Amino acid sequence: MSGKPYDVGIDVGAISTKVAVVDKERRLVAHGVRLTTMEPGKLSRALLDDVLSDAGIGGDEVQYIVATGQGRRSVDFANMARTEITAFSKGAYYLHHESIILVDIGGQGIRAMKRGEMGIIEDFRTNDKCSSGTGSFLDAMATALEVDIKDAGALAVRSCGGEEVCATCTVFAESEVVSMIAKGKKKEDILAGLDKMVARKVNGLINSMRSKGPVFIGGGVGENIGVVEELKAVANREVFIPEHPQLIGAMGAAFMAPREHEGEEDVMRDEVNVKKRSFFDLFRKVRR
Amino acid sequence: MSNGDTEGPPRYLKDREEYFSDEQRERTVSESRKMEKRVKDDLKAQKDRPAVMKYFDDIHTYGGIRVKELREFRSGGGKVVGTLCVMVPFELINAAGARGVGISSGYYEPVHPANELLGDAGLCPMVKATLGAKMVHSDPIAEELDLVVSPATCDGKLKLGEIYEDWAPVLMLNIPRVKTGDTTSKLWMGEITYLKRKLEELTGRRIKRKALLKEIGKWNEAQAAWGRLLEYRRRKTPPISGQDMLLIAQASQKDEITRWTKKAVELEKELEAMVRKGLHSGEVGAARIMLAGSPIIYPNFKIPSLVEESGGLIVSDELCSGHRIMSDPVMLDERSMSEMLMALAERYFFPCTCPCFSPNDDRIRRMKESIRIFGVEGVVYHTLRGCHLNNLEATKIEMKLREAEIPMIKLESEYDDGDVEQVRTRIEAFVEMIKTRRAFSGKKEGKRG
Repeated sequence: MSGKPYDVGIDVGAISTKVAVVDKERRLVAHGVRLTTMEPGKLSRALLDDVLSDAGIGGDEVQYIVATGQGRRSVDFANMARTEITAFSKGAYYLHHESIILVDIGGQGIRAMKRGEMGIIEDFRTNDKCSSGTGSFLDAMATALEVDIKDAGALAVRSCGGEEVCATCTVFAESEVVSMIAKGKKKEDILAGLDKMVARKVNGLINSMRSKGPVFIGGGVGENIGVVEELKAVANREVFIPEHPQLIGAMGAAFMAPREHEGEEDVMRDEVNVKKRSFFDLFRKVRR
Repeated sequence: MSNGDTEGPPRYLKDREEYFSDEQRERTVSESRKMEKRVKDDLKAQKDRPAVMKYFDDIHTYGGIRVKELREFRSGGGKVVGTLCVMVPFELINAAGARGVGISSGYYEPVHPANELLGDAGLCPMVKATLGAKMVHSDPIAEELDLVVSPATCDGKLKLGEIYEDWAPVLMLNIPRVKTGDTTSKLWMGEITYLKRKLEELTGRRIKRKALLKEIGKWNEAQAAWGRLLEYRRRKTPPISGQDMLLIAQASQKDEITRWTKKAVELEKELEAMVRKGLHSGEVGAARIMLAGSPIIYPNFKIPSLVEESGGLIVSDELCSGHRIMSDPVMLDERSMSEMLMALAERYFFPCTCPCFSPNDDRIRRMKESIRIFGVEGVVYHTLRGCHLNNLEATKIEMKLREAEIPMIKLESEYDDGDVEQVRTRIEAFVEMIKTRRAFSGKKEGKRG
């Protein structure tokens, strides 16, 4: 296809909206994150324009826009929309081929996917209704502790021994945290306890996928070093954290843009494109 | 009715007429009516829907023609028997001169009055809705009952029957839950004979051999018609949606079976004409889905409608509120009364693959067979909240299906619309997954061929 060099992925999540601009070599060129508002369509348009102009990229240089996330339908200017599960697995697959279990810890959902042969998802599980252990849960806890969520991870790592937080419900956990503050417990210990609880919950989901393979962690909570460290401790297997955990969904969406020019293994392409080529073509590319 | 503290109804709610306010009753009725209308409008909006479906719609209409007919039947001295499970032989009820009607509820609003009495203990919403509808009298059909037959299958149904007794006479059937062993057949046979005797007492008419034979013939005819409808679901582009098929199967438990069969035959003709014109339900290349798990009762069509809105088409189901109603004809070897009762008992017991039974390996065998016959590409396994038995069996089924390379997604749902968007995302991802897999498996097969 003619040479427009960039593809854009827009991930309209429950809490924040992410935009990722990638080039044809699947490198992240520019990105932006903003809190999701009541008008996700307008927001993502504005965010995209800002990201593009900051990076000095003209709108006509963008070939394809793919929307994902819970608000994907409201992005009316996108060329196509895919669920966050498909987008995340695609992003994770391209960034780290070896990972088998792909975990997306987002603002309101935890999604674990199992990658099969050639990057196709075999199975996925999500949290049911309850948002405990997700980004908004940690956000609520940080607010209760009067800690900026950005610093929460670093603070928790400083703890020498975490408290035990057992409640799995956001509201109950919050009251537990409040009572701990009243008892004069240290903030970092409480945070470490909360991170441990989140890690246990995520690990339970990982274990339910019935695979011993390496784990890829993405989503907003992947930015929280406290949770990541706890998870590495409990997971008992290789854990891979990408450079921009929060952007995996948006990048995966951008990777889904159909492209004619030959890159590396394009195994999760749109059905139509795949059918044109023979199985051996695909096979050869995977092996290379 | 005794007034003692230890035995006999009312056991659960003594002031049962004053307990719920009129305002609550009215709200339950109006919300139920609204919900039924909304679901039906969605069904009517389906692309290329056969015209005969209007009959099946009407049978299910809230406070519709069926209620009127049953009321007239009763005022003429007829008896109406409600059933709470697919394991009750309708043939026996009809042969006794009574009318059978399935009363398990798919309405959301009656859950609230039941919650008020029982507390929200994560109980099965279907049990609560059925109970709640009777408590506040919001289901017009449940108001026309002379007897309720309740097989004690799962824990929920066991206690549902008991609590229901506060409002209507209930006949509990003891289900042998272990399918192997010497006592199983004997126990169930005894229960069927007991049901026969109780039905005779209710109507004051003996069940004659000829009458029963005739009823068995009618139901077998209906099953044959159902079987012919299924053929259309095997097509590459089925002319009928999975939601409509559920509606049709459930109508057989509401209406006179002869009228149902007549309409099913009409539908068959219409489907044939549609196929010739090239009309079909759903989109071309829709993911072929099988619906499994807990019962999905009209108008609780949340899951099936989401599947069919998300680029999938339900081509098969293994629900006791769907295909299982109509799946196995009664096989008669001899026509003596005892032989016929035996055949009935067998048909309503052994093919039943409810997870309340153990061992229940027949279920996965039947599922695999349907997967092969209907070309199923993925299984949506739905469990109602608190349906422990289906929840427990899901793991086994998922493992067996994985061996056969059929993906399965397990969804837990409640009787409310709160989780629609979450479930939609999961179903859409599942459909996307199936379509991606399809592209590759197609290639693999091509290579082999």
